[in-house]
Amino acid sequence: MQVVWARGECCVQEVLDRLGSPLAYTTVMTTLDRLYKKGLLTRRRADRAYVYSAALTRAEWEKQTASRLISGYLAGAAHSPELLVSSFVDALGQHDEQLLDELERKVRRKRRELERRGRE
Amino acid sequence: MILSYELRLMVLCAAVFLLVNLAAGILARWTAPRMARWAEGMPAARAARLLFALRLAPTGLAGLVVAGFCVPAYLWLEPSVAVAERAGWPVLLLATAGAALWLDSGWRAARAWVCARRWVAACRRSGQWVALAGAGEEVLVTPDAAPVLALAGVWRPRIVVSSAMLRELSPGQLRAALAHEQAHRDSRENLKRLLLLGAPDVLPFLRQLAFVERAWSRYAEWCADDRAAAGSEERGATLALALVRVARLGAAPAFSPAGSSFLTPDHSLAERVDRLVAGPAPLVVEDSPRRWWTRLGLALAASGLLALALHPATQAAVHDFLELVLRA
Repeated sequence: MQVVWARGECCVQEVLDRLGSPLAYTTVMTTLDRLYKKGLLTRRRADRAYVYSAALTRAEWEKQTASRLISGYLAGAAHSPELLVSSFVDALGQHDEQLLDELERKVRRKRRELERRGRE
Repeated sequence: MILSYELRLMVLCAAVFLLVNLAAGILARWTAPRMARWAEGMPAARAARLLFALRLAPTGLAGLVVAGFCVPAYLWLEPSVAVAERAGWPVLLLATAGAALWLDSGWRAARAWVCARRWVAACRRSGQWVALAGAGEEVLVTPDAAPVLALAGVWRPRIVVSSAMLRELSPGQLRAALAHEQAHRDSRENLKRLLLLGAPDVLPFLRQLAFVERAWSRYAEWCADDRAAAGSEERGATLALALVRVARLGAAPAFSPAGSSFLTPDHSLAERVDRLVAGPAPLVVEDSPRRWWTRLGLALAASGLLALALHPATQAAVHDFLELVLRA
């Protein structure tokens, strides 16, 4: 999927070239065929080969995956939604802290540079 | 359905407004992504002006057609004697949709205005007026523990700051943050927000042009950042540090969509900080010759439209069109 999203449209050989790993042509072909049957790819015939393109954008796919994950989790009677929400909040808070640290470092670097320039 | 003279005028106005707004709205919606891409290469102030004009263009055009063409043509050429005239169902449906369009946006704007008024009143009750460096006039300091720094009020906007912010920010950071809010105040941003909320969208109850409003809001924030930095790298870095400091304090309470907050959750903090750190924010030139030329062009266009609207042949053609719409 990463290759198809990056290239827009590609045939089996192009995917194989981009993967750069020693996979058999038929393995990649079967995988693309399965992705097509699952509705993740669309394809059209060009000459004698299929050209594949993504049926969903990366954002749409991520949204779909996340919503499937959450629905699956909440479907279990023993699982509490509060637990899920609190885990999300923790994860986001951690992410925010890291981001803020990074931003603060950036600003402080800039200020140091300005001070140095001021002294020169 | 048989309608009176005045009711016919109202029905026609609502129906024509809907039709023109729909056509112009579809065009605006279609051009908006291209405009947004074009705006990316512009200074923030100009990009904000462009997107603001784009969002209000359908409403402005529809209002102009109704007020400048339909109403005069109807009042001058429609006999006001008590003649019972039948209005067709299509025009009644269009008028209902037109009224729904205004009710939807009117309700949105009224709710935002009431929320802003209530919040300012609550701040006035609990806070006190203090003169702080960086703000053009006294600011309202509230004893809140939440990180509040906002411009509240539509007609006479005031800067509101919580005591938590005064404690957390250094004098330089506070001055930069207040200058940011002062920039919002100087460009009457809250009134613009209210206008955007009150401007009907393409269709009632569907927010097709909301992303233009979000893009405008983003550039408005950038523009206020630029004005607060005033072309100085030092002030830009101080403002960036103030933004990070405020973000660490947590989320500020949302008080009204017709108000400006120093740190809004829908605008990327990282983007704003990167922009401020990246280099000298350009000084905003207020009255450049380009703006005067734009004003002159708009004045000329308005005069031309007025002359066209008052021309007897235009009036007759518009009246014929209104008759057609009414009997459709």
